[in-house]
Amino acid sequence: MVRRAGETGSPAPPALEVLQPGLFTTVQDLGRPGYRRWGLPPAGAADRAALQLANALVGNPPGAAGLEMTLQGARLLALQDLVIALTGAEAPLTVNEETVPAGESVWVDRGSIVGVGTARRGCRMYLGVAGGIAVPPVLGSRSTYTPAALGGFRGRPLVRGDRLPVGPPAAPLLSLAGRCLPPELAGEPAGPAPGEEVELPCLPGPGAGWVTGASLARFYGAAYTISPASNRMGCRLLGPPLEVAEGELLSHGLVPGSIQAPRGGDPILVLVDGQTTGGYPVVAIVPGADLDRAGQLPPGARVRWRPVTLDEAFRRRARRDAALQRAAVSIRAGPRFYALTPAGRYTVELGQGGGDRGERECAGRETDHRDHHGSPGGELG
Amino acid sequence: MRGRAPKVAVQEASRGAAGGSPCSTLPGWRRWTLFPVPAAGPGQPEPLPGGAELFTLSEEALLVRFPGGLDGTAYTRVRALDRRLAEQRAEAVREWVPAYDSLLILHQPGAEGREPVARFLRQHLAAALDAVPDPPDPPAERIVEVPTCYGGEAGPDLPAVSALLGLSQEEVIRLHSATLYRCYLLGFMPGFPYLGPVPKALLLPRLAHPRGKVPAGSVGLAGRQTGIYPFSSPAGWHIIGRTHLRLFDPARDDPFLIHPGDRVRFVPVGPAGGEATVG
Repeated sequence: MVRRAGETGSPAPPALEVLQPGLFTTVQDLGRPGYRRWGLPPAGAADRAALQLANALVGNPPGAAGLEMTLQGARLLALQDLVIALTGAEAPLTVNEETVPAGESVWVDRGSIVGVGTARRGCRMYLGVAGGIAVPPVLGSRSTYTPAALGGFRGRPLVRGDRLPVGPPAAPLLSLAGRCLPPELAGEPAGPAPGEEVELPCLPGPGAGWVTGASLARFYGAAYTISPASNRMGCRLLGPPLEVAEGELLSHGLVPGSIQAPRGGDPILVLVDGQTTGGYPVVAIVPGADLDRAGQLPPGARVRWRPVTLDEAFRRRARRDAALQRAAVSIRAGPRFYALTPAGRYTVELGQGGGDRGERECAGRETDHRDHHGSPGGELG
Repeated sequence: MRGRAPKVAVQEASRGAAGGSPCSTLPGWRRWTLFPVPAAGPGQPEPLPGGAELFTLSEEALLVRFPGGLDGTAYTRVRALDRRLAEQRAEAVREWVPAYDSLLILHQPGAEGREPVARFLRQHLAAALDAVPDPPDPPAERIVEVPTCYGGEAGPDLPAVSALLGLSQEEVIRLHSATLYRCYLLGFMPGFPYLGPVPKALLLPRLAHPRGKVPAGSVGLAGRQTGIYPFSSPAGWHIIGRTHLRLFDPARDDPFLIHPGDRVRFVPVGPAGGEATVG
């Protein structure tokens, strides 16, 4: 049935083999817009900014498909030479058991084993691969929507033995390795660790009048814990209950970020795979600008809700979009090739790139192994 | 199932319940049907022509809600606005989701995306509201016939439903299949149609305990709605039959068998099935 959609032959040869799939690893892109009226949620990366950064690092267009790994990463075998980058939740990245910095594009020799460990902070890691994961698009997107077994790799999370096709890279692979995030982004925490508390902005929801004033006040005053029974459809929120008035509300369109209050149940923060319509009162809404952060809440993390105005939501969105844009531009300027192969690490200055790129700096990570070439991009300035 | 029964049994709070309405002081949908709308303020809807309301959900989403509930003209107006949006596609509008009495609009993020859409609504809503209430079906309206095998293995709840309603199984089937339903919206899962209204004689609460999985094509009944599960899924509705039709198939030219606004009729067939006709 629907499961066949992802199985149609792809011209791209397999480039990655799954040795261990991790907890829940799926192919995701920026989602499947335009089908909400048909009951299909947008899906796509729960942290879209992180996927876009991974794509920018490996030279892909922003909407290329990568791998989203939840809490526990995957182990993958490179079936061909690849350039990869890890973004999103903070987790160790290894190539052939050697630790590699996240947030940089890394050359991976054919035959190497790429390992993504357990998230220390945040919830979802994104592995970008130069060329993008080339599963066939379904309804305009490669994202996996598991509730309908749609898109991605056979509509399901990856399992051991899956072989993923990768598309042609945007530039010669050599030129795509060794690029790193601009410092202002690399320093940003990926999300809270379990037990940590964060604040998420939210706007008043249209159903706020369906819960008692007292319980709404408690909602804004308390920290809610992300339940382990959370997934890409939504986060279940453990905390003071919302007292919902009797009566039934007509189902209406829902956006990700909505905080629903089922009568007698835990509030639910809707995420990217959440239902397109719902009949529970929506008491508050995390704006689109902060949805990426909602996608990085691991079970056990605690959230407080900070009411914001629409104007502030506008500003936050503009800031987020501009930062992403800037990051993509500054990443593109990477002048050096940085590789980690079974033979060891090495760095080659490529000397290609514009004269205005000398200012670029790699984020504050251990960079000894390549600093023998002088300051980054020094000879370009 | 998160979908609710399509009744607008909205609890009145402030009028009769001075002593302890749970939510008399808060803005919300409760006012949608029963109260005058106060001036727009933080978190409160902006009034639109004809008693409609405009809720700002986020920096990229608006919700238009029409008064009157399911039994009134709200859905006619949702349809009219749906068509209007399709015809005059405003550049800032990205997509929209019609429902029973509301329409969700996703627009380009930011004030520059919101303003043209809000302006569009202020200008064109009047026209949408002027749509003749309950017009004769326009000629273009599609009717989808769904061959359905009632009872037996395909409809395990039919005996219980018949007992609960005090009707014979044949009568339940006759009533359910004699009605030309409206598909108000698709939701819950891709291609799941919320159909209604169901004849009052078939009114039932949903299952107290949702059952495990029902097969794809299962026809469910709950409240004044009936629907069809496109995938094998847990179900909180009474399952009275099954169709072999695939409601959602991404490989088809038109992946969705039933569209929002379509008319739908169930046609009783034997277990062997039959073909759908879309006219």
